[in-house]
Amino acid sequence: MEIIVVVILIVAALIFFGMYNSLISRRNQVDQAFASIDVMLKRRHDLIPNLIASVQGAMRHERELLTELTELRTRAISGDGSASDRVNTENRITDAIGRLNVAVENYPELRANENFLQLQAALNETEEQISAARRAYNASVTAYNTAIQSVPTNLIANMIGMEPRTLFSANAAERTNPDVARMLQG
Amino acid sequence: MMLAPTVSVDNLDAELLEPILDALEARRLEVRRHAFVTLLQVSAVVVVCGLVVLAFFPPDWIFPSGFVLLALGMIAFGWLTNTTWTEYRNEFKREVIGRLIQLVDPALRYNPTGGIQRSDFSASGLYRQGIDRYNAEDLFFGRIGATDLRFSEVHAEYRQTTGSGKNRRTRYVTIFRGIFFIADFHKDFNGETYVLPDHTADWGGGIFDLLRDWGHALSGRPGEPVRLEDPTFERYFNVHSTDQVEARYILSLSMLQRMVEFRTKLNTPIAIAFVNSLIYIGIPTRKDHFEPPSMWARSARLNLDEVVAYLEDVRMAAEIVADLNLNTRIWSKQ
Repeated sequence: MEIIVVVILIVAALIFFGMYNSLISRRNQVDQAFASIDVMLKRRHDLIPNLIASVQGAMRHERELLTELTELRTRAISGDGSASDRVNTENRITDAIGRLNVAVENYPELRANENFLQLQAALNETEEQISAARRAYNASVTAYNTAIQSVPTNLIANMIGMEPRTLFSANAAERTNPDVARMLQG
Repeated sequence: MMLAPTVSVDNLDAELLEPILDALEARRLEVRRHAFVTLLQVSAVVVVCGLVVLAFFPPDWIFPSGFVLLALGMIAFGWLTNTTWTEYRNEFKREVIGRLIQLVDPALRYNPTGGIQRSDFSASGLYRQGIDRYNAEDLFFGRIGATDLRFSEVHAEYRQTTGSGKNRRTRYVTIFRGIFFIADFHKDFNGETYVLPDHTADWGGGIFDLLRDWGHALSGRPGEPVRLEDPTFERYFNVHSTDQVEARYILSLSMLQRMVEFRTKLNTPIAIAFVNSLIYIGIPTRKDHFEPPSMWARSARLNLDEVVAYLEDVRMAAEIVADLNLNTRIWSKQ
């Protein structure tokens, strides 16, 4: 009889540890996915000064846009403000770069500039990677949220105070083909 | 940038093709006549030998020697007709398939006896069973737009031995049979991402997701399951990757949609691997592609519709490039 009780206790403990560990690993995955978005965003911040430097000589009518982009970048790298402020700033950067890409169409000399084209390609590439990182983040948040809300893992999640995380909502422009989106914004 | 497959029956130069098809049919009929004559000759020899056995050997020899004679007759027949058949087959492939591929894209080359190398097939990591017998033929290679590609028919098998002692049986089991396609992918990546057919999806329910993940853990394939947003895609495929972010970088939302359309069009469980900045696609088929009509058919002069059916097969590479948008090089690989 005693043996049975001991076995049941051991099995229960193993199940508990298993569930606890899976919750922790899901939470770590969310943090890791969030960090990878940061890496991609930082790469974009690094590209912006070069982009501005390469276009400002040619772009005579978009001074305001370039100033706005510089300010947004400064705000983004300062890291001040709440998480939602930061997301907002990053979204505005995406938007400003989109408008810049449209404005470039009016400057044939830029479209023939090898240096600028390379930067533009690098930025497009980074945008793709940011979008991939966001999707990876959303997938891991969904898995994490499902785990902390389902029975019986929710009991453990409540015990250690795990809170649901919020999903990144991709803006409409990102969901459509980038070129079409830019045309619409222009 | 995108290269749409515009080849159709209208592009086939009927006047040029007709005499070639006539000549090929004449060659085939000649091969067929030769086969019939050979069959008669071999049968005659077998019958004469059989009579000799009946006349001069004891009765209990009749059955085994008859069996041996029949087997020898069949081997002799195969050996005697093989050369003429192979010559005809090569000519057919050169004249018909070789011309059709030029029509699809003049930059593509065709080698009837070449094939995807066994090492390339294994490098894809798609089929992890050890290969004991490997055959590949009908290699197409070249460049469409900005995409280097090659594809061929591949048949890979493993040996299975059951029983022991007298009951020991060995047979070959197919790992993959169909068209195997390798191309440059338009994005650079370092990890490994596999898009495999999902056989459990139709059974429904989350419990099968769990079984599927265990199955993956047992398969020894590197990486972890990747859950993607598109439910139709998730129904057809089952994705694993060594890098969650990179998998989504490769499988953009538009790529997911393209893959679903491609899968629906082919209606066969395709498997795709992204390894070493290459895309590998395995398309299982039962049909033996790029082969001439049977030697025994009474009349098999190809009409234009049948030529178009061959063209459809040959055009596959161009279609993959267009369907999966491999030529769009707006990102890192320019």
